[in-house]
Amino acid sequence: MLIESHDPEFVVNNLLLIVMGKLLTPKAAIFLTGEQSGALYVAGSKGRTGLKKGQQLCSPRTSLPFEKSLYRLHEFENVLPEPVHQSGLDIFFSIRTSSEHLGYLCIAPKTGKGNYPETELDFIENLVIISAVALSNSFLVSRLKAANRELDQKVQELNTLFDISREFNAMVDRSQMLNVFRFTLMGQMFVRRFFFLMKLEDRPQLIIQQGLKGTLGMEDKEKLLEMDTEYMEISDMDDPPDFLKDNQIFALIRMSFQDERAVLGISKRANQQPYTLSDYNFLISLGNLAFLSIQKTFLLESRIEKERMEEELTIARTIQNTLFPSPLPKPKPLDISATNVPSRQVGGDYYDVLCSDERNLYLAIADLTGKGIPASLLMANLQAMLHVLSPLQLDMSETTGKINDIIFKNTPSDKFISFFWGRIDLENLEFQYCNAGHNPPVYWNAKKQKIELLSTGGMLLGALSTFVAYEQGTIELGEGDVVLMFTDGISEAMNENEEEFGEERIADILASHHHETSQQIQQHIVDEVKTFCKGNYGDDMTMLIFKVGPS
Amino acid sequence: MSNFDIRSRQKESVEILDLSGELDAHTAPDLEKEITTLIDAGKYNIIVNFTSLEYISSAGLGVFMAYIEELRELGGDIKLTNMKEGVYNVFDLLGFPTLYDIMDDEAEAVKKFNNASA
Repeated sequence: MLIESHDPEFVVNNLLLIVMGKLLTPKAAIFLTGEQSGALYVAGSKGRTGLKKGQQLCSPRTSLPFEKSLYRLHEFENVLPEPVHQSGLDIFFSIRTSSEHLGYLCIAPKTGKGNYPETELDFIENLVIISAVALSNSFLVSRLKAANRELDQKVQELNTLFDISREFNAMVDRSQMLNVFRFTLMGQMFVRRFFFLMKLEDRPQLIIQQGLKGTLGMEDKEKLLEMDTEYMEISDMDDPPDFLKDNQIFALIRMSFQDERAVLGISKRANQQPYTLSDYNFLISLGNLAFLSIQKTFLLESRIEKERMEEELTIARTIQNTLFPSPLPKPKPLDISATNVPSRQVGGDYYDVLCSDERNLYLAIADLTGKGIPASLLMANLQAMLHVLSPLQLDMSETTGKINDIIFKNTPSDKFISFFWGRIDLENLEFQYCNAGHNPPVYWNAKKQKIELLSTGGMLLGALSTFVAYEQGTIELGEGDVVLMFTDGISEAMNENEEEFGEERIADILASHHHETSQQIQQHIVDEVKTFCKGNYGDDMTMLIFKVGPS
Repeated sequence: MSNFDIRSRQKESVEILDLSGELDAHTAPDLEKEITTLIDAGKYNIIVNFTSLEYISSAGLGVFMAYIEELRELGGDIKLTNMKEGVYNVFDLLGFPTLYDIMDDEAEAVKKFNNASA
């Protein structure tokens, strides 16, 4: 029965009872070497020995004799402590197997002061040999059980990580994700109070707070994110924040992903079990998994946002392209050329050429504040007005004032349009124009052989309602005259020293190439700008040029 | 995808939740919702019957952790009954038996609730 039992407790108990019953021994005890401590302790004691079960008897380093099968108490002088010498136990049987020294069975002298006869001692010796095997077996079994349990726990941890990573992969909703993390942490680690600290939009925030009271200051949050070990216990921290102490946070775990950091703070476990190294490793894995998945949701969001913006830009670009005149009219005696070099973002540049009837030709260029769809819608608005108003042959200055009032009413106060437009009478070559806050077009006056700027007009469209009338300029055009209209994408194109291309360069190019076609002049400007800023222009480049040919 | 289900019923003054299928990270929020509904309705004596539960993950266990303290402060409790061996092993591995009433039989748990309130 002893041999079959796998419970050390049972073996110890029975061995003691058999010995005491058989030999009429008043006191007996069993000392064993602890599985984990390696030190001799009291595994069982019966009768008034004064020894307590579980009591440790010497340090793990103490060397104990096991050569003989039987020792007397005096042989343990200076080896075993005083309580053993006071216990009344006198005869010590070595409990040993061929490979292990397990401990001692100790008995007091026989009741009635008689000595034990040899036969009885022999009997005990044999019994001890059998018990030693049983104990050794039972220890083996309990070691195996412990190893098995540890293995099961590891498997459970792995299952948990697998479960949660599978779940996280399928999720894009952050709050759902945090919930799963919360439950997993509570279930697996048996912890009730914890927090998860990470940066959101550059501000450290507690994205999970479970069972905590009070708040953690911004400085403290920053400080926690700078912790320099993978995990630490609060007791090792210099001057921990009150929030951690008040909430009995026990340890901090650090997570990192690229340059980003996060910190998980946890209280003690509900069952008071300490955290082992393996627990910390699990927490680091679990924390990192959660941290990565949360980061992933942010990346996903910004990608969606980017895609949405790109789509918007495509729409804006499409609107803008339909507003440009195509093909350009070719009314005699004019030679007209225009270009729009779009930047990466869709800007608010617009130009138009319309023949309202046989005699009148309108040219317009505009630059709208803002980008994307709002700018292109405003542009469509402006284009519609021009197309409706131009056949009416209204007074330029009055019409500009009306357009301004409509734009002012239709747009928020931070949206403006710089606008230049003009009307050419193709019969007498009179050019009337109005400049509403636009970069003055450059005019090559062939008769005078010099450059002039067309700035007569008034303020930007859309800034204020029209309370001062726009002025209009009039030029009598002649053969060889060139008017070059442009937007600030050209005049403000920057080189690497942050110098602007400038209106003077535009004027100089026109002055030196005025004898060429409008297309060639335009190409000179585009080439020079590109050389100047090494292709690094940030805004749309728009130009509209006309040259008066022989009539 | 998941086969998890909760049914609730009442026995004397005790609310009983019958779980079936698999309780994991995916289905844990369903159980949470059920328990918070009971708490909001002022029903603090809860038995969770595991007879038909085939599998539980750590996240599933976490739900019980999340509410046990609150329920006990309110004078109630969650008792867990009729677990299959595989399910009990998970509770055991993670140290739950020290903190929770885990019982073999639902009737026994009902009796314990009634004795406590008597």
